[in-house]
Amino acid sequence: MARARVKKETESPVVTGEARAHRMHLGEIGDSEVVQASLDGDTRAFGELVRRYDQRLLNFVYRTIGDRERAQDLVQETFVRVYRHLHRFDQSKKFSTWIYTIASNLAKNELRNRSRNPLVLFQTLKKNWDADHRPLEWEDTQYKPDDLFRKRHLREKVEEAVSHLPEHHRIVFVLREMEGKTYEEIADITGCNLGTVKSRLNRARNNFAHIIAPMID
Amino acid sequence: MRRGLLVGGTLRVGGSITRSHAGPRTPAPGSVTSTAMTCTEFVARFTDYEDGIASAADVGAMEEHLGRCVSCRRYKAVVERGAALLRSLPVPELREDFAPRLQNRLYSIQESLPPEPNASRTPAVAVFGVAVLLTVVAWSPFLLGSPPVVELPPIVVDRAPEPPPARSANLQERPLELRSAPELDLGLWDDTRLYEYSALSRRYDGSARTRQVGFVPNR
Repeated sequence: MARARVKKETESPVVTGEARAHRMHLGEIGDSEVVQASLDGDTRAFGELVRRYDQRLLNFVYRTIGDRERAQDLVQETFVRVYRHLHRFDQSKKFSTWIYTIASNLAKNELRNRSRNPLVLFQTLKKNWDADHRPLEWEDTQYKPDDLFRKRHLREKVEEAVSHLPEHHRIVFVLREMEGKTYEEIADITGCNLGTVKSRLNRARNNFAHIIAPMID
Repeated sequence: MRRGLLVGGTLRVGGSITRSHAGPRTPAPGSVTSTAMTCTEFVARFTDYEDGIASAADVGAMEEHLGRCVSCRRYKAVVERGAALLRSLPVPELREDFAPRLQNRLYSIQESLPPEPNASRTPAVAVFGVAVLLTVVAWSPFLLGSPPVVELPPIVVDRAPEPPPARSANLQERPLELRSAPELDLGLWDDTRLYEYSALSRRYDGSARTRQVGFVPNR
């Protein structure tokens, strides 16, 4: 495998027109082509993969484990593992499924470790503090303050409802509702069969509806 | 105004809901229990319906049920509204140092990885070639033709061998012949003291035990 050479930003301060065109080309092709380019030694291809997935993975991992700082570390670890083992990736499969599988496993390990060594995370405290103390944002003038407050309250309740789902329901629920994955993809990512995915999703939706129903009219 | 929500076949109205998954699912007042489809069946098949993978027959039955059942309409609305709210949640932002840290980690991995297999292919081929060449050279006499035959002159025996001289059967009876080597022994062991072995526990109970030893020639 020809590994992509990772250069530090300081080594290439000037972005030439050719480089820009190449970057645009990478942005237009599919994941499998970008993976192949990275395996062929293209220096920018892996950066393109990071650009495509960093935000999505962060959202997924954060919704799964509920800790923003730790989620960033786990997303980093996901990319490091992808970089190390890209040559082992079966290119007949979808890259997104593979990278989500790695992130999902890391998130599950994190939750497992946390359940073994329970401690109160400062991040959790801070998140609640932020929610209680930040000023109201007047993002839309057509809403009244109580509408804004209610909207924010509803969002918090929705987040809370997701965090209260059992772990194996939560992962399936987030993958389906937030990431828009198909049942087959969720089955591949979680290592479950389709029946289990459907069952967990149905239960997760039921629980979710259960929690937020009082807030929705 | 708070309306009821059908959960697990039971209509709940507002407030906090405590529900047992294991409990029996009995349709509540307001829910539909026709022979076509019950609320419990609707909830059980809701995921297939919502994600568009239910069969045409199921879709027809569920829509017919939705047309008649307020509770299930409410349930569907809550799930869909909740999912929409979930998707509208702000996406967490990456830290500013995320990309530089990742680059540094990838860079250090690149440095620590062993050299690529392509880089060592040429020397390996060269070593293999030399080994083959040496093998061919070593086996060349056998490969090129029959091995050389060296002819030696024949050994002619013209008389019977003599028997060895008779030796004494009892070696103990032979006197020990001490050969003196005065030039080596002279003065070699003079004034030599040998420390006698003693057990450690008895080592310090008296003065050191020594004795004069040596080969003292008769002077």
